[in-house]
Amino acid sequence: MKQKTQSNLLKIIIVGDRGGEITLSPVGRIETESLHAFLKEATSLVTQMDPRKLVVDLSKVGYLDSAGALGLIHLEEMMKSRSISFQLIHVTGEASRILDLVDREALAVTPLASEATPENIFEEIGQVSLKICSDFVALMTFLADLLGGLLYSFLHPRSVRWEDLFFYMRRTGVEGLPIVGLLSFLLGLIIAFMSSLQLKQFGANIYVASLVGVAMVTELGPIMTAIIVAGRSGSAFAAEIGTMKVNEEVDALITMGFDPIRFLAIPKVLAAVLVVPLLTLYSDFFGIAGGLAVGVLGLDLTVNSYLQATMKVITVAAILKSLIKSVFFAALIAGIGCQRGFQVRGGAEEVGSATTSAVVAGIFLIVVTDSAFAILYSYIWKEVFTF
Amino acid sequence: MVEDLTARFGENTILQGVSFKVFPGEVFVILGVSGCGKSTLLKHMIGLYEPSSGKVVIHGVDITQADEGQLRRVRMQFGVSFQSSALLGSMTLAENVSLPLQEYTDLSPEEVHLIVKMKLGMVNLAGYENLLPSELSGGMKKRAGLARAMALDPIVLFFDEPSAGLDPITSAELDALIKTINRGMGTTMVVVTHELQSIFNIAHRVIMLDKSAKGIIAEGDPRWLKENATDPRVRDFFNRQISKGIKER
Repeated sequence: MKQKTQSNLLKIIIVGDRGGEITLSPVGRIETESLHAFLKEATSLVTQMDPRKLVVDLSKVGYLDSAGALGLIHLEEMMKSRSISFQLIHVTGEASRILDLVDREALAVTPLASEATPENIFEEIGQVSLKICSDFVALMTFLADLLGGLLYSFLHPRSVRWEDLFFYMRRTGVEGLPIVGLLSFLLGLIIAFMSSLQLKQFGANIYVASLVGVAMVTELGPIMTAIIVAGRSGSAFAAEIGTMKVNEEVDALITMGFDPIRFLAIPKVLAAVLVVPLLTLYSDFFGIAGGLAVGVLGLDLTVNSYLQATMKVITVAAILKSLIKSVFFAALIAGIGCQRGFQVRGGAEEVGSATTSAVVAGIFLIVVTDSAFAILYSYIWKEVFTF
Repeated sequence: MVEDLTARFGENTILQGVSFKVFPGEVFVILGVSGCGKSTLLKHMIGLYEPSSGKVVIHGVDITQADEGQLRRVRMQFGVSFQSSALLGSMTLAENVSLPLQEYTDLSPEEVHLIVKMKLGMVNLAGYENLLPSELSGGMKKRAGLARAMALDPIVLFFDEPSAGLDPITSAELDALIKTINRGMGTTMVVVTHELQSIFNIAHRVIMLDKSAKGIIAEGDPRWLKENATDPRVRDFFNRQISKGIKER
């Protein structure tokens, strides 16, 4: 006979000889916390003593929970697999009820495969390819619906939810002013500072003004503003509509006879299209102000000469081009945000991925569209417009 | 045990001086019409809301005054099955059920897996461990939520509207499950519901809350209350009658 202490909760008394009948008497509690100790000891006992029969005496067990019952059943299965006979003795009524609760068949059931987890790499590649195709189709369908909705709104201005439109104009535009202003100012400052390091060597300080002005108005102003709006508002649109999908609010709108695109997406897209060009102008202004700060404080230029140099390079055409570009950026950001929101099917996790996807796809499309505009402006603009 | 509990949201008092005891091993039902503060009371009992005044004592610990360490120990002793099942959507059922086991015990991954299989088997979800909550029906999600609540073999299980949104058969299955676990493991059950059939089926004892009274208006065996209650609000509730307000036209 020997006694082993496994934990504060459980002791096990072992009676019997190697190769013969062994009685195992747990003393204390067999529960979740002592399960590990119990199973470890029982397994090592079987390996060491190789019994013909294992008897577990429950008379000294003060408490048995379902994890403890599972431990006993697991032990029994282990003995069966090693052809060792197994017996539980002194099982109280309470213990027997808990043992009955454990469904032995359930422990052996083969798990079903989740449809969400692909079997192998080829299946995964296939699924991803299909997803990209269906995403593209969904995006095109949505854009067509959105254009239809916009056209309807122009023809029927009374159908536009003006209150929502003003709300989203405030959200996207007014509330974005501080961050757009600050980032554009810093961007102008950095460009001016970095370019001045080079231009100073040639005494061409005044060209810092031209460089900052052209860079901000033609490229950085619209792009910077669009990226900030994608991060602030595109994501917010996706999260808002996604959560509404999860809560079946979109379904409720459909059953009430509303077109969710006209109800939810149009005010957001229109608001973005109206305020993003204004934000772009604001961004241009702050970018130039950032350059001016470096010019005046670091390059000994006067405010007047800096602004005059800037005015020389900024044409009405350049401003118009950047505004047209920003209208397209705005439509894309808001459109993608809403579309990703409408795509949500499951729960909170999908809202998160829709939000991420709205920002990533938004920024990607901004860059692609910007490249397209660069080509368009260089080859076509001059042919059509002359300012 | 809840002692003289007052719950307020801003100026709005929901419950005023509520006191009652839940005895070990019983199925205790908190009932009342919508908006009477049933779920608010439950959330105070599980420590999610802090009461304006009063005590909630679970196993000798007043959770309204308990420090983080005490709260953690008390939380190990109770499980909560939420109205929306509250399974984490990004995790499979097995991962959901194993969360408390991994957090609170030193069990090996194999042992955790074994317990998860057993718990899912107990709620008739054997074999579903690798599925995501989004792949399950409403009733299955409720049962999976229950399996997670039972992961650590708690002394007390709290249920918030277990039958909400379920068909009568699934709802009856869940009631049967509550009774089986209560009988088999002796777990104390605190259930918030307004489903009459469920109440008569599972409850040993009930308390009824009322919005205007801001507290308990009846306590006892639901079958006895149905027959003998003198308060018209209690009688109306148990007999599905309308005494004031909306009448059939």
